Amino acid sequence: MIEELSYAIKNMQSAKLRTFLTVLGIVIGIAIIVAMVSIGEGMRASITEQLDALGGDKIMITPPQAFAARGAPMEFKPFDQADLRAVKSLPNVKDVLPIFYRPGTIEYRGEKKEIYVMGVERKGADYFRQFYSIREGRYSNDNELKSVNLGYRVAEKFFDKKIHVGESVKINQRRFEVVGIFEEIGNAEDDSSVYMPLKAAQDLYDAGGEITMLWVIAENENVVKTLAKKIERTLEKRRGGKDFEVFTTEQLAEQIATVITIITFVLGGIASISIIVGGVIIMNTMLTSVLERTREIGVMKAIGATDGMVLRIFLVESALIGALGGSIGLALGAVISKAIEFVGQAYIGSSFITVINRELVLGALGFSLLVGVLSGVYPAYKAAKLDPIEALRYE
Amino acid sequence: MLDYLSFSVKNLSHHKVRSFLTLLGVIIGIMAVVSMISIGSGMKASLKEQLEQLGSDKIFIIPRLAYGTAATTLTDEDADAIERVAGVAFVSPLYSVAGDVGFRNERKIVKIYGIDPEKAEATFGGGASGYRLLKGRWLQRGDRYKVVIGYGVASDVFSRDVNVGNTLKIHGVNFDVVGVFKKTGDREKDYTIYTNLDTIREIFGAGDKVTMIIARIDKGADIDQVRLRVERRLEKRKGSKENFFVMTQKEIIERVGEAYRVVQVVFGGLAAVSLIVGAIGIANTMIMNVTERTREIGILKATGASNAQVMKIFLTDAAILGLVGGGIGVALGYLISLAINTAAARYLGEGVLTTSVSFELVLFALTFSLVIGVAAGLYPAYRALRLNPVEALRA
Repeated sequence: MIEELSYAIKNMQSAKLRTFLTVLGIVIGIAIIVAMVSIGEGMRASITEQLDALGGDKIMITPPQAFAARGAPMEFKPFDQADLRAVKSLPNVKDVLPIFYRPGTIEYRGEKKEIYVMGVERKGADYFRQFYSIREGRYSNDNELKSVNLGYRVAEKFFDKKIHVGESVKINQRRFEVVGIFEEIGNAEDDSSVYMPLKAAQDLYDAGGEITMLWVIAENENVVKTLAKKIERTLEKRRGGKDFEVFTTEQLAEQIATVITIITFVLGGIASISIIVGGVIIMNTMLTSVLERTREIGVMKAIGATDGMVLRIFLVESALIGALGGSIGLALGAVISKAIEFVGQAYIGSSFITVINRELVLGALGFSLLVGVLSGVYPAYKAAKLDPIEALRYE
Repeated sequence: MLDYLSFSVKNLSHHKVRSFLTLLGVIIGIMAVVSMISIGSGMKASLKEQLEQLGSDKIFIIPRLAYGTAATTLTDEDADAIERVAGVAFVSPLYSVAGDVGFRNERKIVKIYGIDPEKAEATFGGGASGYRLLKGRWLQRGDRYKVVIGYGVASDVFSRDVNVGNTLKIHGVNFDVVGVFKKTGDREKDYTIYTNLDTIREIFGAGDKVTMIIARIDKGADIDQVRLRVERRLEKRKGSKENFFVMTQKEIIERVGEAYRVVQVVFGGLAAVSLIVGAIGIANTMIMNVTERTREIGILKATGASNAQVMKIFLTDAAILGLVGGGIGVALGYLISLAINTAAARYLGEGVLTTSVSFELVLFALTFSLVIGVAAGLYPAYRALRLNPVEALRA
């Protein structure tokens, strides 16, 4: 094996430019695949982290997401106090958090920006401690109807001057005092929201006791699955149809994972086309190499080399090209991946990360090696089957 | 020129397998680029078509939305106020809701549009916008508890087909089906139930709320001027212009077109990487050719061929490889694009994903492949012309 390797290296050195171009073909393909897949893996990692922070004992009840995606704006029947009570009275429910959620505007020093207004209860902060931690100030209390907590981006990034605790802002034209600012959560939406007591938000929109979504906290993680089903049945009966969706943290994770897998496959798949082209180049180079070394092969066979030995010599060479391209491509891909992360973080926030994990490294190297070997099969076979007498006569 | 061409063809056909593999690289690359870009431009084209059916004399007013909640509430009074704006002929208010609909013993959530039948016909454009009745009649002003249903609602939502004369139970109230639309191919239209505005608002307790207002402008009025006036009028009523959108059809196309452009750039860009690898393949082949033909180049030069002539010989080779590969690639890419269309129509439904290969795309692909061929041939051709004839003859 060592012998074949050193022989292959010698051959590759004899036509440096050709070897360089052939390896380059694989390098580019692998680099792009690695970069694309690392984006997908990064999304997966960042979502997993956020969902872990939510905790496995939570169930989310939301308006139907599928309908919100397209077409004319749509009304949903909001949840009401009776829905809340019905869910609360189910067994194994520790607590239910009503959330009121609407798009709105914030005005600070005469400048207006778009935000999301979240109406929440004070106790929510205890259940989502890992999620909403205070950076400055304190949480609003339920009866402080003129107080507001700001998401990280709202306070730090939205306006030329950062907003601090104690200042006042106008939300939908109404004045609020900033009593707290959250740490960065990592997704643009939560970080671009303002949080006020539930009643304050409902009043702000003149929305009575309307509730947009419910968070259910189960007594423990084991009952979550059956509880989710029970909630679904209860609400469906109450509301006359399933005009809402129920997710456990686990289901949420699965659903998001599926979407990310699809994106990764599509992007990685399109990028893989270039590897096929790279393989074609390897085949071409190897065919030329066999042609040029016809005489050499003749000599080898004349002094006793078997078909298998000749086959191996050429297979090792093309495998080496593939593996070399794969390794350099991996390194280049890592650089590109970091560059994408850098740009992405500037636009999207610190939640945008790219991840190159062990599976990706092994996959990329394995794939490039495989392409190298496969592309070498036909040329190597051709070399092995050369008739030594004909080959020796070749000029 | 013809001389060079026939000389090139002879050279390329001398190494049939090598030329074929080199072509294959370009073919795969161009094929990928053409089929990927065709997905993006197909999406754009079908969107444009849908919006053009609506006509260019309309202004759309919707609240800013997030996850099924709206930043502000539009009402009949807003609609009336917009109707009084100079340049607006009339307005058509729409209330859409995700409602629970029962048929026999099944219950599903279906999108329901509440409209004014006479104005809706004028704004949606009746038959012209793709709404054609398959069976029954359209709604009339003063109809109570009557619905016209999209083709998908009739044939797909419930396990048994819904027909004219059947009864649907919407939010607990019986409605007669008086008409069924023909299939439009647009999921949004096909999976919607249409009924009178007041009836549906009464059932869902929506008061005088509307979710979208479509304003038709006077003939000859300047749509951008009218749009501005509408926006100003609403801003005065709502106190802020951040919480709603006033858009003309052109602006909607631009907004959505932007998203599709991103798809096109990402898909096309990834596919283009394989084309770059294909170009490396050309360069590789050309260098092998130059090496093998060193002697021939020596003879050419010794018998008086100028550097420019030698250069032209090799550049022609490369250009042919690029252009022929491009031509075959475009043809195959077109076939793939057709195949995607057929597959998408069968598995995703009519009109969900259509691809289109435009004349510009064909022209672009051919030019691109030619440029890539020539660019890839430059360095090998330069190597050829730099050869010292005396040295070359000795090789």
